[in-house]
Order: sequence, then C-alpha cells, then structure tokens
Amino acid sequence: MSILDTPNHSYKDFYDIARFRLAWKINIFLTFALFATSIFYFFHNTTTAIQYFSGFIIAFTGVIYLIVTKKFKLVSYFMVICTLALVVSSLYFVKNIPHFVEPLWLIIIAIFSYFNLGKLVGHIVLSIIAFSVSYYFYFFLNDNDSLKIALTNYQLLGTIIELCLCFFIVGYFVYNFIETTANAEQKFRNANEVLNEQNKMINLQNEEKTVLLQEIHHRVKNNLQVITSLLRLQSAEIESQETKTHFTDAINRVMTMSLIHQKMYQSNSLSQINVSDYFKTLINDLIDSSSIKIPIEVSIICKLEKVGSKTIVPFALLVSELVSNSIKHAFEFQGKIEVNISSEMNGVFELNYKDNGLWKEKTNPNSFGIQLIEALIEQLEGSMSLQTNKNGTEYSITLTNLDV
Amino acid sequence: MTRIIFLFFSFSLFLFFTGFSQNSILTINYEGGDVYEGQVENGLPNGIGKMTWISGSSYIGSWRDNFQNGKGIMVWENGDYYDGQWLMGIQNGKGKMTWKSGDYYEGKFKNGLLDGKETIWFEN
Repeated sequence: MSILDTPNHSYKDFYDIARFRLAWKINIFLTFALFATSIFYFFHNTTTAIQYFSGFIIAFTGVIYLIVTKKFKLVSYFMVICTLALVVSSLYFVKNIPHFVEPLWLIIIAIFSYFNLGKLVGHIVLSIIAFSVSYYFYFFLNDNDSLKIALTNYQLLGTIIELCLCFFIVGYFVYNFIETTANAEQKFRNANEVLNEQNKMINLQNEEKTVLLQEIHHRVKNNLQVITSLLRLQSAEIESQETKTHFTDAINRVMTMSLIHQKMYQSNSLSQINVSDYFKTLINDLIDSSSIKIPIEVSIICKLEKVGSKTIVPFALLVSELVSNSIKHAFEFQGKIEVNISSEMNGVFELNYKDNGLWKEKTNPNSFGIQLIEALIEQLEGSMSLQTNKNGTEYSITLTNLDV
Repeated sequence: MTRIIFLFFSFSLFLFFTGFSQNSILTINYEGGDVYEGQVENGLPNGIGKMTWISGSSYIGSWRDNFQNGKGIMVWENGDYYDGQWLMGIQNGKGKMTWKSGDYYEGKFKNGLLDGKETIWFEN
C-alpha cells in the first residue's frame, strides 16, 4: 500500500469521495514538500523557514486528523483558515522580501475552498483574499524595499521552487476537477442510456396492452353496429307506426352506447371520454338517423371536459333520450336544441337542456322514455325540474354522481 | 435485497386485504405471458397491482390506465431496481435507482432519466 492511497472512509457520494481523496493527497504532498522547503530555507532565511515549517505542521495535522476521523470537511476548514492566516500574515508582517508567490498560494486556497467546501465558502474565501491583497497593495507595497534591490541567488532559487510548487498544485486541482466531473458525467450517461432502454421495453409492453383493449372496444362497437343494422332491417318490415317508433328508440339507445366504444378506442384515454366531442357527434347522429325533414340548430356549451367510463353510459343515454324526445315530439318548422353542461361546483354538475318546440301531443308521464329519464337521473344521483311554455321546453337537471 | 422482499411482502398483504374489502382484485393473464394481479378498472390496471412481464421484470405499486403512476417499485430482469415516483409509465419525481453492481442514485428523476441536480450516490 502506497502512502498516497486514500485511507478507508464511509463516504458513498461520488463527489464526497473525490473531495476526501483530494484533501488526503494535498495534505500528504504538502507535508513532504513544505518540510523539504523549510529545510532549504533554514540555512538561508530563518523567518521564511519558520513560515514553511508552520505550513508543514498544518498539513501534517490534517493528515493525522484524516487518518483518525476519516472526515474531510473539518480538515478542509482547518486548512483553509490556517493557510489563509499564514499567507496573509506573511504578506503583511514579513518585510523586505518579494511576495511573488503569495498570490498564487491564495489562488490555491480559493480553488480548494470551492472544490471541497462548496460555492458559499468559496465566495467568502475569495472575498477575504481580494480584500487582503488589495489592502496589501495599497498600504504595504511601496514600503517593500526588496523590490528596489537585486535578489540574491538563493532568493531567486527559493522563489522558483515555490512557484513550481504552486503551479504543480494548481495543475493537480484542475486535473482532479476535470477527472471527477468527467467520471460523474460518464456514469450519468451510461446510467441514463441503460435506463432509457429499459423504459422503452416496458412502455412498449404497456402500449401493446392498451392497443389490445382498444381492439376490444372496436369489436364491441362493431357488434353493436351489427345489432343496430339488424334492428333497422327488421323495422323496415314492420307496418305499425308505433312499433317502428319503438324500434327507432331502441336503435338510438344501442347507437348511443356504440358511439361510446368508438370514442373510447379513438381517444388516448381508455377510461375517459371527451364530453363535448361525444355529445356533438351523438346529437348529429341522432338527427341524421331520424326521419325529420326540418332544419335543427344545435348549440352545445360544455364546461365539463371528461367523464369516466363508469357513468358515461347513463349520462349519454339521458341526453340521447332528451334529444330523441325533442326530435319526435317538439319541432314543427325550425328546431333549436341547446345543451349546457356546467363544470363541477361543490360536487354538483348541472345539465340544462332546452328546445324551442311545442309538444304535439300531451306528455305521458308513464311512457318508457320518461321513466327511463327518471331512472337514469336516479342512477346519477340527481334531480330534475321541467318547465314548458310557448317558447319551448327546458329541463334543469342536477347530477352528483359523475366520475370526472 | 431484504428491503425489496419486505416491500413485496407488504404490498402482497395490502393487495390481499384490499381484495377482500373492495372485491376488485383480478388476475389478468395476457396473451404474451405477462401477468397482472391487482385492481382493475375499465379492463386496465388501475389502482394497486403487480405486473410480472414474461421477460422476468416486475412492477408492484400504483397504476393508472395500464401505466405505472404514483409510487411503485420496478425490478428489471437483470436485477436493477427503481423505488420511487412514476408518471404514466416513466420515472418522474423522487426515487432511488439501484443497479445490480451495487451503485445507486437517490434523487430526482425527470422523464425517465436521472436529473442529476440533486444527490448522486455511487457505492464503488
């Protein structure tokens, strides 16, 4: 096991692992590098040697702390605060040496803060650095005599060593950041590609089942149309007008249900029907299939968007009965049908149905049509009021059991 | 693995008891070999149920009109599994994806993909 190998830790987050690794490697590297540099300076400049030795103590403490606690965050805070204090104090209090390398050390501290302690700490550290450097430039730079005299060979060599050290650390940070980000992105891409393929397979299987059910609706609708055609064929042979009317009523009811299945397989949802679209088609079909010759104007205002398959059948049959009644009994010259369906208000839906016709014969309250309307309203847990005058007939129906 | 077994067991118990109370638990054997057991409405999985595909993948949780919708656990045939929120057949919302390698991601999903703006966890 090499000394650069990261000790065991409990981190599982991809980025946290990278941060721990960075804290470890930087501390190890600085421990050796700063110790060697402090030895070099010890023979030429004791003040600088003490500074570097302090740096060595900080890095070495970091190493020990990482081995013991296996937590990178506190070590990172400790390192940032201590090194920042060390470098800034060097700028301000160590006179008459050229501070070429200190700005580089400060940049390293800022990068390390951003990477290991996050954006907020990074911003704070950078602000402190900017303030400290500006303060130094404004108040201390002109007093630095070292800028006015030539540097000795050992000073030049020491500066070169420091610069190389800093460049190496900056390079390592950038490499580490790029490698971590690239690895994370690659893992993301791979994971998403696999997930995408898996989802495609499952969705394909789901869609197959939906298509299967659409096919069933299609078949039911076709069978109901066959029943409608058989009833029509049979009614053509009947001479009694009353019996023919009963057949027409039955055909309309089957047609109403057949249209539900048609709309079901044509729509995206197999459990809900677009009410407005459905009633437009239904009323037009009822008018077209009737033998009425006069023009009928239809107006549908529907604020209810969709109704579920549980209650669409009684709801559709109810409207179908009302329209069939109007066609059969109401109109003489010009017909007008108005259907107004409100959206839900406190669990109540309102269906307002109006025509402009006058009943040709007296309404029989015991007729099958009226009984059916009452039964359907009861099924939908509603109530009905009827108003008839010379302008026509108006049904005000409230329903409480619609699954929307 | 223990967690999956426990969740499957809990869901099975839930299905068992809701089946008695609501009498709406059905088993649908599809033509291709897929099997659905759970609540059904309009001929489609709606409510709580378990689908086992012929490939070996399975999903247990909430359904809407034949699509995974709500909370549920999907286990793919290769051992990967997802536990979290679904929206009409795709992962949307918070969830945890665990790959058979042991890597896992916990955080936000968007349109069936890892969103990556929250926590990412990898075991190895």
